[in-house]
Amino acid sequence: MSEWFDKLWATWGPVLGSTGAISEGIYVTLAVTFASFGLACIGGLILTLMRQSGLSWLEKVAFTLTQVFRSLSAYVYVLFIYFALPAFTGVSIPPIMAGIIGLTILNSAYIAEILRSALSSVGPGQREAAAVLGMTTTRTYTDIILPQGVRVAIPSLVSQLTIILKDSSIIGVIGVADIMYRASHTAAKTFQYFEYYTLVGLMYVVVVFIMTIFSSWVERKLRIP
Amino acid sequence: MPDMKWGEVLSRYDLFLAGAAVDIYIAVASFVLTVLIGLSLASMSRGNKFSKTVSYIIVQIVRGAPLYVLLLWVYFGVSQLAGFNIPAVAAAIIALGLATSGVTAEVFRSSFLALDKGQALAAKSFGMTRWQAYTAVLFPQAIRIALPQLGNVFVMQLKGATYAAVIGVAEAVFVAQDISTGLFLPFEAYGALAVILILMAFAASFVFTLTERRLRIK
Repeated sequence: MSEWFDKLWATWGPVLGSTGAISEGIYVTLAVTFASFGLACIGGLILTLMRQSGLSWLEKVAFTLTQVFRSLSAYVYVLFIYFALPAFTGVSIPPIMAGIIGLTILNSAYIAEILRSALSSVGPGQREAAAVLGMTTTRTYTDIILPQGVRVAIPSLVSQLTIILKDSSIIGVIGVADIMYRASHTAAKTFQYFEYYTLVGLMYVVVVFIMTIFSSWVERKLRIP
Repeated sequence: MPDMKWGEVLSRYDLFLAGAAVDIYIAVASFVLTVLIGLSLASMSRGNKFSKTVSYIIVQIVRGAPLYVLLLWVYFGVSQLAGFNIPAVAAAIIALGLATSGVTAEVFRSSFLALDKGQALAAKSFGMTRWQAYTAVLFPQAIRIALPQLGNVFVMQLKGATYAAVIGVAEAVFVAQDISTGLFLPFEAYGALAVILILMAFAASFVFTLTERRLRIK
């Protein structure tokens, strides 16, 4: 028994010891995740407003963009923005920016869908009441529709945030030192692939789990009684 | 704007098509796998307290672990632990099947919940066994409810299949990378790749919409 334990400790001890070094990358992971999420919320809102603009050509453009944006994976976005765009424009993009731009474009489409269904859950009576009170379209949106719609959207938005967090692991392929990149490098140095990938996988699982718990707390907090 | 050499890339369309075929193969195989795992997890979550807890923990893990991590975990990690090399395509299929199984389980769970309680009771009163009730009464109805969301899962598989390039599977992204570095035409190579992948995703959604319409109960 103790021999078995010694062997286990000999394998896992150094792995657990390097948890600190790997988790330094969490700042990069979280920075990319939250930056992309914030920008994608803005992008998604713009797409949603385009789709509800009442101008049929603008609605078609927004619909097509949403469909196109979501058909590519984060990996393809990162490769395209980091390798292909500089060849076209002649301006090179720092890898971390390439990651953020890619995740933003991809998730704008998903967040647009989330916001669209949330905003359409606000009853038509609200819009009519705002019109009767003589509110402008802008004020109707900022004071009536958005505060109610966003409340409905929050659980889905947080689940999208966890998806961005997971997708952000791919930016290691263009050399951004997030937790996955650090774990891969340590694994390659020590040949302990199973241990390091399990460790970094569990790190993601823990962060996602915390976000899920937070989401159900916010949902309960914000529910209109 | 630099002069583009689309001809160079377009003349290699056969390589792209071969790569896209590999993507479709991985997507279909892993879709079958995710449906199997998802169904098992969904039925476990309807069982006793123990199987409920186990299914909950598995769902939380596969939901939290990124596809990229799962892919390298299976290809390098599990291979190392098992003592033999898992082929790259198989690793991609397993990782992708695992990565979406949490979502698929949730899709099936909610579809079975959406069925009228009377269906299960009616099957029971006809003297059907549990298995008969599932295969003849409940599943055919649940799958129709699940279909639109399974379509989304399939598009996820198609997008996820592109990750297989990182472990050296010769699918479409791998082909584009090869052409990009070989001919130094990154914009043309990745541009062509993006067009192919977008068309594939559109085609997949279209097929699922058609199936949905065909299967609809009139």
